Amino acid sequence: MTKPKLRKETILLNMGPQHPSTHGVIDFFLEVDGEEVVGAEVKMGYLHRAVERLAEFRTYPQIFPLVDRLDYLSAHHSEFAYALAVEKLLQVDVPERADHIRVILVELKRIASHLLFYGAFAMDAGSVTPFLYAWREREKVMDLLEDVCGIRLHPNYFRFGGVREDLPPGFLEQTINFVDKLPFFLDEYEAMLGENEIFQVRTIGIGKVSPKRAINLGLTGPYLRGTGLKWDLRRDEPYSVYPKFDFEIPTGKQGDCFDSYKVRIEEMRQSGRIIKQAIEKIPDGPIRTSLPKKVIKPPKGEAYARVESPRGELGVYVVSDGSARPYRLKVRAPSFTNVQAFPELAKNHLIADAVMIIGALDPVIGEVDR
Amino acid sequence: MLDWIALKFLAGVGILVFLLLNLLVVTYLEMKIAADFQVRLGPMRVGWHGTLQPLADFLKLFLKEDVVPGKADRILFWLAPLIFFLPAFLLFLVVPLSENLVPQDLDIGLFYIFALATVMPVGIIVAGWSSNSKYSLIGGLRGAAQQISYEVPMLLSILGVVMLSGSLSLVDIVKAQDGLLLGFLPSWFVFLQPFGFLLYLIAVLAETNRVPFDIPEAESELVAGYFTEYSGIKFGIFFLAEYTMTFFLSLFGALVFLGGWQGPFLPPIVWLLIKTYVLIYFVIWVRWSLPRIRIDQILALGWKILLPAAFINIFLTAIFMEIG
Amino acid sequence: MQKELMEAIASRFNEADFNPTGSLSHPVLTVKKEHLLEVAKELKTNNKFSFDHLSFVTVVDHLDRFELIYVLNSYKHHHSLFLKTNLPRENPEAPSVVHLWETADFHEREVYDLYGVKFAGHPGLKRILLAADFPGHPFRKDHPLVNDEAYLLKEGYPKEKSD
Repeated sequence: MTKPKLRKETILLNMGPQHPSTHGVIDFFLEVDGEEVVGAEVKMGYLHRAVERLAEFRTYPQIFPLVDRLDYLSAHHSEFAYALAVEKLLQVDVPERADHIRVILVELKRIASHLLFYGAFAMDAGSVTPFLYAWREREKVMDLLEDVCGIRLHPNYFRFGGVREDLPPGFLEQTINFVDKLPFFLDEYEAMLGENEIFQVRTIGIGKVSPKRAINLGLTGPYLRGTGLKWDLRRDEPYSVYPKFDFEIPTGKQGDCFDSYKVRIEEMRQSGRIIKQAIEKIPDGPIRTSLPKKVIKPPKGEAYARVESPRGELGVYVVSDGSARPYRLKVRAPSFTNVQAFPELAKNHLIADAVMIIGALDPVIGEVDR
Repeated sequence: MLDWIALKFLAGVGILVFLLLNLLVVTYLEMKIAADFQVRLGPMRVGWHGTLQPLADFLKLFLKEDVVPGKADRILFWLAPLIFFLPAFLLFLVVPLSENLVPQDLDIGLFYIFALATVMPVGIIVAGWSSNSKYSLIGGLRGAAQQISYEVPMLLSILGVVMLSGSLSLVDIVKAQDGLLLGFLPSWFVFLQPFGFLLYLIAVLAETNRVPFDIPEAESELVAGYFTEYSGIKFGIFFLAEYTMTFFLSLFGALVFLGGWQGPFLPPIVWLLIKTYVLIYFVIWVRWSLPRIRIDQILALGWKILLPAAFINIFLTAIFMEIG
Repeated sequence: MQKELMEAIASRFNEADFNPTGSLSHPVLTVKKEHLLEVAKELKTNNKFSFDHLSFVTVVDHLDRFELIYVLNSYKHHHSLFLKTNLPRENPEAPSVVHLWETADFHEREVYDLYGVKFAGHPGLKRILLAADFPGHPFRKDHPLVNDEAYLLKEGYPKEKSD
C-alpha cells in the first residue's frame, strides 16, 4: 500500500487592518507555513486622505495643518520640510533665533517619537510596563511643546520665514531641566528592556539586512543606520543651523531589530545634546522674516527639501505656478518606503518575528498612506 | 448513604465558594499590582479602592451577548471551555487546606493532579479548532504544544519532593516538612530542593500561559489566541480557568515546597494562604516585568533545558538521600 | 560637488536637455522616454555618478503632458539629481526601473494608482492606495471633483474601468 502524499497548505493570514499592535490601520498580509512566514504583502491605503491633492486647493499657509497630519507623531518635522521647501521657492532667509527654536522643537519631537517607539516596541515584545514608563517622559515633552505651540500633537507653528510666536518665559529653563534628567531615564529604560535577555533573544538577528540591500530597498532612517551606514541628513546634507551643533550619529552592526532599537535610544541622547547646545547658543532677535506680500505667491518653479525625521528621510517637493496655491505638492514619506522592505525582512521568520520587524521599522500609517 | 452524598456535595460547594472568593482576590491583586508597577492607581471606583471591580467584571461577562462564529462547530465550541475548566476545578479535590480540612485525601494525590492537568490541553485544541478561525487555530496549537511540553518538567521537578517525603499524598508531603533544618530553618522542601523549586516556578508560568510564556494568547500578534472567538460566559469560563490554574499551582507550590500550613501563632489555613499569595505575587510580578518568549524558544527551553535539568535534579536528590 | 556632477553629466549626456538651475534645489536632467532606461542605468552604475538611492518617483500633471520625475541621490558622492521625462497624457507609459532600484516598486504603483501611468516591466503593477475597483485616477487635473456637476450626474460620472 503506498503512503498517501501529505498535502501541505499554507495559511493566508491577515495581520490587520485592525490589530492590537499599535501601528495603525495597515494590513500585513502573510502567507504562513505553520509558523514560518514564506511570503508577505503590504496592503495599505486605509488611511489615504489624498493630502497631496487637497493641497492643490489650499493656499500655502493653509497647508501647514494638512502636513501636520501626515506623520502625526513627528508633525514638527513635516512642517519643517514643507517650510524649507517653500522658503527655497520664496528665497527668504530665516532669522537665527527662529532657526534655533525650530531645531529645539524638532529635536524634542524626535525624543517624543522615539519614546513612543520604545513603548510600542516593548508592547510588541509582550512587556507592557515600559510603555507606561516611556509615556511618563513623553508627557513632559508634550507639556513643553504645548507651552510653545499651544497644542500637543498638530502644532501648526512653523511659518514661512520663521515661526509663529516667540517662546514663552521659563520654557528654556524647563527644557534644560528635562534634557538634563533624560540620560538617567534612558539608562533606566535600557536596563528594563535592552539588557533583558528575553528581549535580546527576540530581536537580535531578526530582520537582518545588509547596507547595500537596504539602500536598494530605499530604507532610510534609524533602520538604515542600524545596518552600519553612517548617514544622517542633519550631518550629510545639513539644513538650518545643524552645522553649528556637535553631535554623533549612532550606527549599528547587523541591521536587525535590536540595532534599530539601540540606534534610536542613542539618538535620543544625541537629541538631548543638540537641544542643550541650541538653548545655550540661542540669540535674541526676530522670530520671523516679514514677507513682502500678505498673500504668499512664490514665483514659478519647483523645490525639494528633505529633513531627517525620526523615521528617515522626509522630503517635500513643491511645484509652484506663481499663484497662491501650489500646483503640485508631493511628500516623500519615509514610512511608505520603509514598509516596502517588510516582505523581504520577514521572509523565513516566524510570525512573532514579523511583529517585531514591524515594530522595528516603526511605520506611522498617516504618512504611509498620506 | 444519603448523608454521605450530602456531605460530599456540600464539600464540593464549599470548594467552589472558596475557589471563587480567592479568584476575586487574585484578579483584584493582579490589577492593583500591575498598576503599582506601572506608576498608576488601578481600579479605584467600584467599591472601596476598586475591591468590587472583579465582581463587576465577571458580572459584565455573564451579561454579554454570546456570539458564536457562523461556521464554528457548535457542540465542540460549547464543550471546549468546559473541558478546559472542569479539570482545573476538580484538582481541588485533593488539596488540603489544613491537616484535617481536605475533601478527599487520596493516596495517589499527586498522580491524580497531574493526570487531570493533562486533560486541559485537549480543551485548548478543541477551542482552537472549533472556532473555525486561523488565529484561533494557530493559537490553539501553540498553546497545546506549550502546555504539553511543560507538564513533564513540572512533574519531574516534583519527583524530588516525592522521593524525599516518600508519598504521593499531599497531606503526607506537608507533614514531611515538619521540623527544623540546621537548627533554625524550617524543614521546607524549598531549602532541600531549591533547584526543583526553580524548575517548578518556571513550569508554573508556562502551564498557566502567563508572560513570559503567553505566546498562545499574545495580544500583539494573534489578538487572543485560542479564545479569540469566544465571548460572554464562555470567555468568562476560560478566564476563570486560567486564574484557577494560577491559584491552584501557587497553592500547590505552597503545600509542596513552602511547608503548607505549618507556622507559629496563626491558624494553619492563614499560613497556607499567606504562602500561596507570596507565590501569586511572584507570578504577577514576572508577568508585568518581562517580554514574551517566542514559541520555538519556549519549546526549546522546555525540552532542551528544563527536562535535562529536572533529571539532573532527581539524580542529585537520589545521591543526597544516599549520603545523608 | 554639484559642479563636478553637472560637468560630468553635461559631458556624458549631450543629446539630453540638461538644465542646471531647473529646480531651486537640484540640477535637473530631462531625457526622452526612449533614452530613460539607459540613462538611469548609467546614472546608477557609473562611478562618477553612483546614484544608488532613489528617493521617490512622481508625476506632475501639466495639462498638456505628464512630467515623470525621479529624484536620485548618491550616498557616496553626496549629490542629487532630478531625472525627468515627458509623457503624453493619453495612455501614458514608461519603462519600469524596479530592476535598478527596488524601492521604485511601491512608488511606481502609487503613480499608476493616482495618475494612471503604466510601467512596463513592473512585477505586479496594481493599485496601492485606492480600492482595486476605484474608477479613474484621481490626482489627474481633469478628474471630476465632488462639487463638479459631472460628478453628481449619473451619466457624467467617469465609468472607465480600472484594474
